[in-house]
Amino acid sequence: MTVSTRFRKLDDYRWELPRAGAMRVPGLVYATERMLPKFEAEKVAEQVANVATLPGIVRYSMAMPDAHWGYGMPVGGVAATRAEDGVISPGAVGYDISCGVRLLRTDLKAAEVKAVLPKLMDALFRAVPSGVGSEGPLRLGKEELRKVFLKGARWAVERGYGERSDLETVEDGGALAEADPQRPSPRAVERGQNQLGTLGSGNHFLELQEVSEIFEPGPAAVFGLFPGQLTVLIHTGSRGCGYQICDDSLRSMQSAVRKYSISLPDRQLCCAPFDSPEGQAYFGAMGAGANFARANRQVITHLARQAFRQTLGRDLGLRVVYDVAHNLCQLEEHEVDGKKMRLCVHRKGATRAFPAGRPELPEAYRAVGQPVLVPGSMGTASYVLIGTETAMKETWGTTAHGAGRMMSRHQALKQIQGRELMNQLKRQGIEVRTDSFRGLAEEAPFAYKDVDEVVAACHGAGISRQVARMRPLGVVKG
Amino acid sequence: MGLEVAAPEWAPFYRSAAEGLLALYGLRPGRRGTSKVSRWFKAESPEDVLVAWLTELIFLVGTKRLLISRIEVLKAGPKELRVRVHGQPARGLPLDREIKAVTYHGLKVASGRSGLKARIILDV
Repeated sequence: MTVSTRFRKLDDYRWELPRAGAMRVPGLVYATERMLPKFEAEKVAEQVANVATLPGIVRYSMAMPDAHWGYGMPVGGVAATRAEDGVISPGAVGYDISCGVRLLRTDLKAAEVKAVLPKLMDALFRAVPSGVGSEGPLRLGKEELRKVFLKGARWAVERGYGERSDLETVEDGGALAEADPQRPSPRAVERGQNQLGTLGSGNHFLELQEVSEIFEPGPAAVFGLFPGQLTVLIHTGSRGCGYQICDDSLRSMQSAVRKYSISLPDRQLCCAPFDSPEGQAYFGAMGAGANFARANRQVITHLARQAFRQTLGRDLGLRVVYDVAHNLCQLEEHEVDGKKMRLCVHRKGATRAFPAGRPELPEAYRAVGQPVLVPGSMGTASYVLIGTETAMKETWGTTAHGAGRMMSRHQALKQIQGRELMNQLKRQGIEVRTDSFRGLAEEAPFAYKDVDEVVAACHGAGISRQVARMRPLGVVKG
Repeated sequence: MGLEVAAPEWAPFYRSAAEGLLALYGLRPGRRGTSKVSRWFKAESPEDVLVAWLTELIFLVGTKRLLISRIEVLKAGPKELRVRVHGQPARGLPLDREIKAVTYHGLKVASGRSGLKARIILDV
């Protein structure tokens, strides 16, 4: 196997892309040697190098083991810029602002629902709107949506869509404090008004799972996980509202790069100084979009609870293990060359992975560390990992977010039809519910990297540790 | 997902880009619609005009659920586009896929002897 000559091996999991040309810092890719040819084919190295040109970027432009080609920044990319004199970039966050994952645990063993699994899946499919253009059960007025932008998941709980205890174990208590509810444009508001409580389409899903393996019993017990347990994983984001916020901001930033004389190799990386009016406008709007996403996952939690109660006739102890974003820019304090520095940490298809002791963590988890939720593709495992000190030192407390695509939708469609895939998954014991066979085929497991390999690379590099593995039982596909 | 658009002049160029987008949605032109939407885009570059135009179409189709029957290009150039979009609001309009956004990724409108060409990458 030929290793790319662009990379300099630091160890089995770390590969440096030396500074060259307009790069302000080197690149650092977390991957095994086996993964590197794919990174080359996906032009990850090129995009890592482009991100390294962002003004104010600190230490490295990074890519996680699940990295693949993205718009501007690779999906799986991480870049921290100085808040004082660096930039903020919507392209380094992504269109689906605060796309993220929420894991729910139950008191049940998966075996207890085996007989009613099809019925349960039907109920969830009916209860949680999914698919292209899906509209939610809520029709919000403009002013009410502004409250969602401000309060995030807290808004949902206050309106009866969930329990107070749900907020105790979600990132940032369910809402980013920096959100500016007035920043999203009227069009972003209009796109979001009917979409709260919806999965959307593409790679979004709601999955029933069984905990198939526990790697670290201590943290697993703290998270409320046990072998054979029935869990629920929700993957969705800010829907049309978030896409519009990103769109609006990209347009504004196209002018900003000229205004602030910022030279970039890729227009999709357009940006503005963080402390400029344009930078602050985006940060506030992004926060609002993030809060919409958190409220969205909270409403879906409520809908799932209702579906469970209606089908099984009782409370299952459905509790939030954690809710974490993987497309976000967060203002954080980190140590850089021995000094504390405020950084804009851009994570695009990458998940925060803070270790034990961090004040940002829920009180219940502060002694063990932050849960990291890593979904695989349909038909493959998902993982709960835990944040580490190594991640904090090297990657601004970041690790991978999922399996990462390695094949285009078009290519996937050529290889399999949706109905055939559904039957294959059923033979594996996985119930699928969807109203788009085309969408299902586009999300075929073979279109994604091997999540076991991705997680092993994160674990091997020490940027997160495996706590539990879950296997899918049923999927509602957007 | 991408679109490759080529046309001899600006008006058919912008119209072809729109038709390509509608085809990705799986939409065929509707019957004569009762709604008319007029839009005017002015920008520093043809790429910005193109992004603004297709983004508007994503909003009209994806959010407003307008089944478009006809696109009239009233004025077209490298920094300007004026259109009138005819269609019919259609609640429950079935779409093949969700198109999140038009990206700037690698976007360049090339102008030469054979006319205008661009490759547009869409986030789906």
